[in-house]
Amino acid sequence: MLYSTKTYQTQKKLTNWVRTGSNPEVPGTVLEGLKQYRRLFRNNINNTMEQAFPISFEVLNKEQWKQLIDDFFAHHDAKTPHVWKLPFEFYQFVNKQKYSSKFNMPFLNDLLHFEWLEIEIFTMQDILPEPYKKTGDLLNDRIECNNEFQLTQLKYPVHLFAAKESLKHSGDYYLLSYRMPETYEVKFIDFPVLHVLFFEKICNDRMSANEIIKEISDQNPSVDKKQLKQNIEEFIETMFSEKVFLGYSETYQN
Amino acid sequence: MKKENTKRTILTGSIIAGALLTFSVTTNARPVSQVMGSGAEVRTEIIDLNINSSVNNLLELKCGAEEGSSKKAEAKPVKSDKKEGKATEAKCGEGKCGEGKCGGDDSKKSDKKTTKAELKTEKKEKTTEAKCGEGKCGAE
Repeated sequence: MLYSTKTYQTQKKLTNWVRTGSNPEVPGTVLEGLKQYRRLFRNNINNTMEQAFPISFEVLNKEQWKQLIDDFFAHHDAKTPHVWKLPFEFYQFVNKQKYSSKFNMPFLNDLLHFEWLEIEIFTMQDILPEPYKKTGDLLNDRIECNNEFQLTQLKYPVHLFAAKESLKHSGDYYLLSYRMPETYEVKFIDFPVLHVLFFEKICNDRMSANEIIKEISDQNPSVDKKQLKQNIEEFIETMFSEKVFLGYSETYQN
Repeated sequence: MKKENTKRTILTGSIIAGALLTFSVTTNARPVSQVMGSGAEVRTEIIDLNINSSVNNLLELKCGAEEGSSKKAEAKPVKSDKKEGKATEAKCGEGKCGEGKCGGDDSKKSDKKTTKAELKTEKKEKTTEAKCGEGKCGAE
């Protein structure tokens, strides 16, 4: 049903009041009621963000947090109708509006991103693995990965240190976030860059450990092959125990 | 239908070269992945680190700092006071939209460690249950 122009204008005034707290002249309303309306809506936004970003909430002071919530509520036109997806838009808003510079907190974008990851991975679509077997040859068989993951590069290690401390350790950090099969619990692993390479070769390129060792050794003769082999074996064993790797790929023969 | 994870590759050639160079030059360096645990565990630990970090800052500030000059000094006791009560409060659906657990005032810090998990559980399981304000935190 189409709105009449009058209804549309009234609703515009109401939403403007609810979001900004300015111009409370909405026809047919009582100011005291309007105040409650705005309070309740704003509280919903605030608490959604507070639950989604508890670390950021701890790190920011009261005024900074209030400013983020007020600005987001007033100026961001949400793309999603789902309240639980709003934290992602909040993270994007903070990033785009450069609050990390305004607050002199260079780690802020990484921190919000890190906190959002848990929600994103928890709610991601199921990605079923190919058939796999539990036993196999660690060095020669192809490995079936848990596909419900995301690899993220962070500049500030907000997942390892207190936010302010992370400023002293800026660099390249690689965080694997993944969802445990069956329990749907989200877990995190901090990868050194070499293990990101192993991981991508195994899960993306579907290479076996021996193929990876050969490729790396061929391209970099100075690499100690024995140490490389030991390192990749330890890596694979750890990934199996953490359910990042599920098993060995089934091979079909026609 | 099998779905593909499309966000897979983040390493570039130069980063790979750097990693291998590090590995070959520093023969004693054994790159190790750090298993950090579940979201809840990591969150709890990082929040504690941040609290300790700000407490340390407070201790440093105390000498010569004016009373009330740090906002964190005011925030801390409030948080520990609120934790207990809010964590056991009833679900949002029992209050009005925006009130109580899912819509408490800014000043009321709830038990964030548990509520975040609840929020996510809510998303997973209860997204179609309630109208705005009747579900937890206004979930659809």
